Amino acid sequence: MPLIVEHLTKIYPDGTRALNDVSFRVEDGEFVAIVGLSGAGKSTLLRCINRLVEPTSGRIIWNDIDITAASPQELRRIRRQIGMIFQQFNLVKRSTVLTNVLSGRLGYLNPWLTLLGYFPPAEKKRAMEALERVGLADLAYKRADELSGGQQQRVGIARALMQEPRLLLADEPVASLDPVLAHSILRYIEELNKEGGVTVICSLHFLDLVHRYATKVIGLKDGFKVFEGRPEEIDDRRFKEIYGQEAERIGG
Amino acid sequence: MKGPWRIPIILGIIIVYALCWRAVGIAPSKFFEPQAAQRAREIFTAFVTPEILIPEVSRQAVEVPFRVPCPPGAKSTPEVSGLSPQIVMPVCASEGEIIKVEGRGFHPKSDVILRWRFAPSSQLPLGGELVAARVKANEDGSFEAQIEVRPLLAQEGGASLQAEAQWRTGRRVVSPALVKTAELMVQTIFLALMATTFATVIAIPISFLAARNIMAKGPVGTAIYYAVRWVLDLVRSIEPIVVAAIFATWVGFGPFAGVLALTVATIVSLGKLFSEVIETIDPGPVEAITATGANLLQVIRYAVVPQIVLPFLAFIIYHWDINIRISTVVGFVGGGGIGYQLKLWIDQTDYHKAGTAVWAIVAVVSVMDYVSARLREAIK
Amino acid sequence: MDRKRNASAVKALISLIPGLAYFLEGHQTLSLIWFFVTLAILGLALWRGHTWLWICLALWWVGSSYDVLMRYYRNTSRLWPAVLAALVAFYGVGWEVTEIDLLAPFQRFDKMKPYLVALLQPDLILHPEEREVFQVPIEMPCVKEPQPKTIGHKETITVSSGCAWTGDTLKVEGETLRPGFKVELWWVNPIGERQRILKGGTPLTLQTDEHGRFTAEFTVPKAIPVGFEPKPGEYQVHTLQVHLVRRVGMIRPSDALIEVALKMGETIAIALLATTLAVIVAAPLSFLGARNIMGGSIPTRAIYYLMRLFFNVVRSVEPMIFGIVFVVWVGLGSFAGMLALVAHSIAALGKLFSEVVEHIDPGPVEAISATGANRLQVIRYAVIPQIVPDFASFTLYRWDINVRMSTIIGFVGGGGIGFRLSEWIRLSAYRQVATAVIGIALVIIALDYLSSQIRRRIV
Ligand SMILES: Nc1ncnc2c1ncn2[C@@H]1O[C@H](COP(=O)(O)OP(=O)(O)OP(=O)(O)O)[C@@H](O)[C@H]1O
Ligand SMILES: [Mg+2]
Repeated sequence: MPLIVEHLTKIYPDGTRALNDVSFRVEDGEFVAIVGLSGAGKSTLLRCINRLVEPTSGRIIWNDIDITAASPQELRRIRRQIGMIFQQFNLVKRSTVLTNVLSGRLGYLNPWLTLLGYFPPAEKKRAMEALERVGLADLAYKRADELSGGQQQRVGIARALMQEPRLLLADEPVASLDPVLAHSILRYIEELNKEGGVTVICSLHFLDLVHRYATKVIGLKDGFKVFEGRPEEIDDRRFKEIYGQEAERIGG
Repeated sequence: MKGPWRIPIILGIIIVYALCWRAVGIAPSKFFEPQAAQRAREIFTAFVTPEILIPEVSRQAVEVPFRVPCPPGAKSTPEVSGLSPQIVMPVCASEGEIIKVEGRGFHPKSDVILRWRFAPSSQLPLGGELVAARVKANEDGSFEAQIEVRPLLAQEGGASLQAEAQWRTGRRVVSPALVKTAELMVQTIFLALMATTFATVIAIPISFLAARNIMAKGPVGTAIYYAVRWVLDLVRSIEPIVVAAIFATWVGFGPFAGVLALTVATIVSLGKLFSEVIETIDPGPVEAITATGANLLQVIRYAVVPQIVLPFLAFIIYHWDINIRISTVVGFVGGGGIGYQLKLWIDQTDYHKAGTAVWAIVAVVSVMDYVSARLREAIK
Repeated sequence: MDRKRNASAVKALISLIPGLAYFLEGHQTLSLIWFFVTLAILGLALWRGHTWLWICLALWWVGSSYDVLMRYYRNTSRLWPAVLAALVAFYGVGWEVTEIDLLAPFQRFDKMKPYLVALLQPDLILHPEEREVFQVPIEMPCVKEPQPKTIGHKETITVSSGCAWTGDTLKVEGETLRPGFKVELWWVNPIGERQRILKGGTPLTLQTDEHGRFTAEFTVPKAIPVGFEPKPGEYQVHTLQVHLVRRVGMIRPSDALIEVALKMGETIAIALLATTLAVIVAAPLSFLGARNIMGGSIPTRAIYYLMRLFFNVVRSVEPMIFGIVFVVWVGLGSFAGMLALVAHSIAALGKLFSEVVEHIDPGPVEAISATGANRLQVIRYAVIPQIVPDFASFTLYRWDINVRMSTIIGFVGGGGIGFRLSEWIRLSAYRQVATAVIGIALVIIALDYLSSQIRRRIV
């Protein structure tokens, strides 16, 4: 059940061409890193996959379902199987950690009961387990804005875990964190990928992280796909293609 | 301010102020005109001595039936009625006669009022009272009075004479003005509470319509956004007092008119503040919850509501506080609350009672000011 | 075993006193709220004496105990029963004492309709007109055979019958009148009540043709005065008035518009003077109410507390209340209104200003003092430069409020547009009210805009 992206193009209302005819294929269980300069279209690509951003043209097919053609209801059913992690964590700061984690489950639950703030005890238990997995069980009743950045991102991961995702989209999940934390967060994601068999598509800034975690790399530049292959294949020429002629390679 | 414009600008300002001075008719001498100064002194002494406790007054009364003219066979000789206190007087007389009334056993040195009272009749459908004389009882509690038998008393239903003695007990009791003030103050607080509540319920949906980030996505939404903003600004420029005066003619004088006027004012003000809160919410959580497959209502409940609840609450409490201030004066134009009574007391030159009301307003407004500040701090 | 039973007895006892558990847990504010809510419901129940209020009080009590017990034994909080009981009590009493009657706005809509209509057609312009009136007496009802009736010699008006009754149709014709005039028909009854004759609900209006002719049919309106119905065999004389109307000269602003414009000027004058005078008084007073200036010795500290008390007390009295007092003191008029605004503004500004003074940076003050400057010099060179921007912005804010207040201070006799407006409302002069309301709205929106521009410049 691969993810197939065909001729994906996104033109924003103001005329910005953020993606130009991008096609690629992701097999189950892969850890795909998306690399590219700021503004290359990484976020746009990830958001097109779960249609937080509406693609202008092209198709995205997952599990033999055309996501781009899904009705609002189908879309919600698809989305609940796709976890997403954000650079800015996007937690609801004034809600508790537990509520934030539980809200990952909304797509599965009776909407009316959840509007009243009711979650079945089984779900609460599952949320506590998810928090335990990311090592935050004792902070369940704290407000999200009382947590440090690394802790907040772990809550974000726990929220995605609640969805029992088969695909995880991560948009620069570690760009706001220091290098040590970055590794610990990516290790959680890797664990999901290796042990849970969850396909991961993750945009990353640092090549050393790409080499360390990814099984496949997609390079974007100005909305065009300029590279697709294994991390080892990125040599100096390829690097300059992705990051521009003036770029200097550091690390990795 | 430099250069050649300096002098014209200063001159212009002087002229503007001179015109204003004339338009307002400022006349400091008015403060000191003997009559004005006299009234001012009266008001200020009354305000610093508001009516809180008043001397307790005790009363005792006896009432004796009386007929005009004498029915056939009745004799108009004095008779003793009651045990203590007792009145000695004839049981009947003819119109215009002067009769002698004696009292015994009343409270020593009390003030006695003698009143004619008559039952309802064809001429006086509601019955009535007429003060016949005021006398003072002497040390042993007796008095004597000569009163005229007024033609009004010649009635079918007969009449009676009441003697009521009043005297100060030397104790002090809570004044009725204070009780009235307290009741109206509570009414004022509730007036503000109801208005704030109604306004909140209506302002919440309106505020979404007036939030740029929610509405300005298509041409229709943008048009609604500008229309709602425009109406809010327009209505906001009309003071609640004016609205209250108009509502008082609409739904009748009373607190309900005040509630409606404050509701309108509060909707407008809260609508604008709420929409500003909505405009500044963080879009990140909205995106994140949408990405989990939640529907629109769930997104609002779990991504939008948690972000806006506390700021909304703070504004609501703040407006309750403001509304209490305003509702102390909507009564001036028929909107209920303490204001109406205050104006009445001032118009009746009952400045002591007015003072009671003003001090009550000061107390309640200050306390609410403090409480609302504390509450808003607590929910931050 | 015994100790355990004791512990649960203690817990039960604690749960019985509303707010005590919160107090013991260290939530002082919450326990205070609990205490006051209990007192408030009790007070309301005593005051109104309704059974349902006592039930609410009981439910509140039980609900709070339930919450405490749930927290002790189940580790979850169940607040909603108590909160619900309190809300029912407060809103129930609120509904009652504010005499809310949701039907009244609909049932009495006829009282409001004229305002809404008038808002669409405020009294703005006046078109001077020339008016010639012909009067035709009409007998009501007919006691003789109906006969056509003509009046005038050269210019004639003919009515199809000189007598009629309510609901009859009459025909009226004019001959050799002045051409090109508008024709209005009016009906006047014996006690002088005048009404315009309508056709299909709108006033009947015609035009004389180039020969000065017009023809119209109309229905005799209901005009018999109540209590003066003609006895059988008798009739009363009504008058049909034919008005020939022509607009002459230029249109000019209506009296109401002129009045609104003049009074708006007076209103702004009140606001401007009140704000200015208040600033002049409040600025020096604010130093006396600033802790960092007055904190030194005991007498100055006493002055500081007195000023604070003064600001807080006077600030909490609405300008309109000062209005009624000043009207009694110096008499009706703008002067009293202005004084009312001054009194309130001094306190409000004084408080804001003194907070500005309290938050100045002490560095420059020390620096200037270190140069050997005296107290006034320090204020002039170290304090004033720091406070001017904030003072200016608070003054502007006050000016905004005072403009609004000055439009209503007239409701208690304080002059300005409010005085006229309150009179017009009392007289049900709808179109004039509309003129005033629209005028106020325009001026306030314009001044708001102006001050927001100024604020942008100075901040
Ligand atoms: N909502 C939007 N409206 C218009 N243009 C947009 C919008 N979002 C992104 N863009 C533009 O689309 C292009 C791609 O943006 P995108 O956010 O996908 O880049 P990115 O690779 O994620 O960059 P970064 O590393 O800085 O996050 C950029 O030129 C950006 O300015
Ligand atoms: Mg991005």
